[in-house]
Amino acid sequence: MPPDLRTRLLGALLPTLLLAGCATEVESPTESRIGRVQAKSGEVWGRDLGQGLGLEAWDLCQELGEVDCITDAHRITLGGVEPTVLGIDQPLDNAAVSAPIAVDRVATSACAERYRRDQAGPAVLFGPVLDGDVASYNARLMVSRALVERLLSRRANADEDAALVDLYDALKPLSTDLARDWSVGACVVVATSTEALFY
Amino acid sequence: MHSRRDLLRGIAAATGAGLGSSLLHDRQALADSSDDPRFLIVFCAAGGGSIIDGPMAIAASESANPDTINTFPDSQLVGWSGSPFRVPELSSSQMGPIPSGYSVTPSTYIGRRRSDLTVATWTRTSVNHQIGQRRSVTGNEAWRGRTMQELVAWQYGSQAPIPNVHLLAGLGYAEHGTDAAVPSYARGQVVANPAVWPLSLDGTRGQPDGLDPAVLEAVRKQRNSRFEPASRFHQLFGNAPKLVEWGDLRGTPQERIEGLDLITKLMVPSAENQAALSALGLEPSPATAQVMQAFPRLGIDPLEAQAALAFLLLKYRVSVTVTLGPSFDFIYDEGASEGEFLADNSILNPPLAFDFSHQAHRAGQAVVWNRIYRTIDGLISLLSAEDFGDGTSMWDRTMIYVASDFGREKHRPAGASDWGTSHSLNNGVMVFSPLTPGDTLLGGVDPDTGFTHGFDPQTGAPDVGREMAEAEIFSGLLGALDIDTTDSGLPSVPALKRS
Repeated sequence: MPPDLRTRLLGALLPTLLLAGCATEVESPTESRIGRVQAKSGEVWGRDLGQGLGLEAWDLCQELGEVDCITDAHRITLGGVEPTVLGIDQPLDNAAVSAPIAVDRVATSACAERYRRDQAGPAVLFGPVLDGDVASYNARLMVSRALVERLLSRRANADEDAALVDLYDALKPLSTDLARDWSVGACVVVATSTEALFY
Repeated sequence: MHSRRDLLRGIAAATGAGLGSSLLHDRQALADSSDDPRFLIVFCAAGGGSIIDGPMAIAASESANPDTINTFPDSQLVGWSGSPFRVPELSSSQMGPIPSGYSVTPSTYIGRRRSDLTVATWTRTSVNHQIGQRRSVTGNEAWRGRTMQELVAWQYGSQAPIPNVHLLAGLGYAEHGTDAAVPSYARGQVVANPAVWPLSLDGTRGQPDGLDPAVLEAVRKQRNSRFEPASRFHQLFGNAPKLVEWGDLRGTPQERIEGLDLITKLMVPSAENQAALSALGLEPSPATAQVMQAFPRLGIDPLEAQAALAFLLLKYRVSVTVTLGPSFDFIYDEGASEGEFLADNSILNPPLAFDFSHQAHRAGQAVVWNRIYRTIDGLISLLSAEDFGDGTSMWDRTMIYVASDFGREKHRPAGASDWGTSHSLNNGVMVFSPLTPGDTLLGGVDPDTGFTHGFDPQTGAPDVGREMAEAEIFSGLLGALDIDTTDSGLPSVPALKRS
């Protein structure tokens, strides 16, 4: 086969081959046999959260209006260390029993702060819902995709899109402020997912 | 105290049923035990609390070497007729190198509580702080490296939301044991800051922009059942041990913690945060007045804050064992100073707690023992007033084990009124509990050397030729707590159990 023809044939087939490979991988990922997963410390997770939401670390969460959640109030619970006063120079061996609750608490505070600032404008994350209507599928889809991109640094797959968009239906009978609750709730879903908390 | 468990054991013994099997591996028996619990408070005498500066103080008149052994002038000792205990009442214008006077009156507390005080002697195996601390709760790894706290939590805490809480972090007393067979619920949970920790026990309340609880529940459900299972990360690593553990914590433990409204029950407001709590719609614990009466300085003294939370954790059956104690921090009460820097009795905790004895043994031991006695006195008052629900009090089921790293050197420079000491293997333990004999000294002390000697583990009779091993005291205390030690290989020490 002449070299130029071979090159042209490969060029034509390559996208198809790549797509086929990707599709196979997405549909049936191989479960890790090692399972070597580590928890992010609260400070690392908080940095990622702040970066994703466009907030400074000290804006994420304050208990009682003055105690920083990540560096003080929940520092050890979130897997941090504090050798100077407490003498804790290693993260806890196992997750603290209240850690998932503390994580939800910090994320709720941070997501609510992002929503509040977006309301005041200019919107960074929740604009499609604030500018339009939370009942709009497309508005929710745009926000959902932005959340995954900003907090997990990747694109959402179709099932993840659906899970976030459909949260609206689950909240409808419960909420008195659907735009806010869906926005903050979807943000909490992504921010407290195991993918955001572990590496 | 005789329990239903004793009855079941008696039946099992009589019929031969269950021979060789431990209650710890029987789910139903564990559930039954949680209805009939014992409570363990490990009170850490961190830094090295010396028993001969506590209730086994030696009178100078008893010793052949009163000037060179750690003895006290007879006039400084207070004892009680028929009791083996005596304590030194001390005061000084200096706390070693610190220009602050102190005066202590331990007889106030020991006099009131001696009927539930048992002292047992022992000889330790390490004078390293961290190792000594650890061995004081594992009996030098006597039972597969399980800690006393883990065993109590294992047997009595299967239904408790957070059975084993450590309020004093970073010390060997709060380390996990080494036996992987201990169930995860029985492992210690570290609480670094008792004042704000209750806020981590509810996902929404007390937040200015929190979600409604029903909304948060729906959000969590969507995350756990829809979003995460769809993610490639979860599909790849969902069975990793850390993710399985995380998933478990999101289940029953989270439901129990939030369902019990612990954010309210365990919240004792300080003068500083009371307004903030109200503004955020949070109520103080219904037991606030109770604990404030016992621990009026909890806003400035971390040990009192720990003790208050320890009581609440037991009162509301959140935990069955709590570990607490003075930290190594210097704690100073500005309010007691009345404008004068380092006024008398303004130092609540000397630097390094008992390990301040390296600089000033007598002052360090006197101030920290007194601090521990006072806090224990408050805990006993609170627990005694708390009805368990069956006509007994919480105190009837509780043991306060005062665990020390090790003892201190027995000698002093001739005639010195204060001096520095090194660490010593020889010492004794204090236990406050209705479960142990009470007003009883097991073992004794040689007034000429300051060294303690042991006792017969069966009868409790003093034995000057014997030293008690860490495993023996560990086993005796577990026996008093009615922990099932079947197949443990531990020595039998019934002398530590109240008959």
